Amino acid sequence: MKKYLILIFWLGYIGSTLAQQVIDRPQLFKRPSPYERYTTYRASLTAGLGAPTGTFQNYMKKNTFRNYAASLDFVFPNNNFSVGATFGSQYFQNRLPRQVYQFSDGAVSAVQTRAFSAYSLVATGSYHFAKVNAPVRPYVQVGLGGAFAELTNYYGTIPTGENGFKLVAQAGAGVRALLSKKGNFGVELGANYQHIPFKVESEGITDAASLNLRFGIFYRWW
Amino acid sequence: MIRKLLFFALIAIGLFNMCSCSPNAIKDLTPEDSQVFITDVKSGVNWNAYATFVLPDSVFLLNNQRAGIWNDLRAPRMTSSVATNLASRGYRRVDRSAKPDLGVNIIGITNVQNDLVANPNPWGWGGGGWGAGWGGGWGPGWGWGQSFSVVQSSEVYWYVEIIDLKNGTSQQPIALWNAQIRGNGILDETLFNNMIGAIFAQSPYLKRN
Repeated sequence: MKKYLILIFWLGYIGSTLAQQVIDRPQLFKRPSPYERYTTYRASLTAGLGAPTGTFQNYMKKNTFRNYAASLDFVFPNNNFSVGATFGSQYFQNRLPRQVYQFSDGAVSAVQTRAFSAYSLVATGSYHFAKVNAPVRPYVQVGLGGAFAELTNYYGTIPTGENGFKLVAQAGAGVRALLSKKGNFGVELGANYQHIPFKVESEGITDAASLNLRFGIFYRWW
Repeated sequence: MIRKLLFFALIAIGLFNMCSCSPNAIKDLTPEDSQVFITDVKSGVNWNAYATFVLPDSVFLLNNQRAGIWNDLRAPRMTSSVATNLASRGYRRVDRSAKPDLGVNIIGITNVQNDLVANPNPWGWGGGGWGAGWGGGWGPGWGWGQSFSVVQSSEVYWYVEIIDLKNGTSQQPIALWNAQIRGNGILDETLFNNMIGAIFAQSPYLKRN
């Protein structure tokens, strides 16, 4: 009697597991991916070219490759938006050959080294032109935040200049592509215009505006 | 979970490096390029009104407000370079007894200062700045929070001045012109002629027709 009970129990158990597999597996594949159900996360690291524009271009002349950004985003499942924060770092440098600078009651002869650095923290909002799980997602982005900016003009070894916390405004566009259809990693390419109102009359600049073209990787998870 | 934490740790380290490696813009300057020549001139001076100048054979030293004379063998090179330049501008070097119109002094100024500073910014921003500083400072651990360091700043520069002995008195000298030579390598005698040449080159008005 006891043997039969055990046998029935076993059969019942095996039957129930088989039944579950038969019922559940198709449903599992029909369910939307977590990226389509939840707000998920994306982190990215990018680096690339920075080109000064406007009065800042007249002053700085040279482009830079010391131009980095790290972002963390909340990616919404259905409406193609994401919001996040970007930490950025830029460093421009321009060395002028020796020149004599005339002042009203004298002159200074020096090799000028002009250096500008900005460390920014910007809140960003993005709209993507493709669904959250699309292999390629073009996007547009705007950002607003603050930066610690520092402009130093070295006459030889003697520094002059200004620094301070400044507003940062950005607008840009780019594209992100997943490396595999269901993977977490992807690559991204983005360009933006960054405006920092940073007026230094003695150096003849009204702002530290730049165009940035950055390439990098991102990681998404849920 | 651990993978996520590792990932964030990597990002944090990346961010930290991006902040702290603020490059030193002037570390690759050659001594010649680092030199700065600053000249000041009294406006409205008629340089034709002067004919002679006196120049001591020695170089004065001011070291932390202590005065002295540089009796180094290099001193005559400095004075002769100044004398040559002034002669080429039409002025004649005379003895002090011959009532010269202009007095010329060459002064080497050295100031050394030790300061204990609180470094309120453990992120290492805003480097650059003056010379030797920012030694030590980090201490054990990650260095979050305030740290202290001893900053020794020293400045050495040459100061060349021309005063009016014709119209001024020894009580009330009239300073007409001065030049500062700052930067690296200014004690290198092979650069003396360049340095002195530069301060005269940027003062073309200083001449007697």
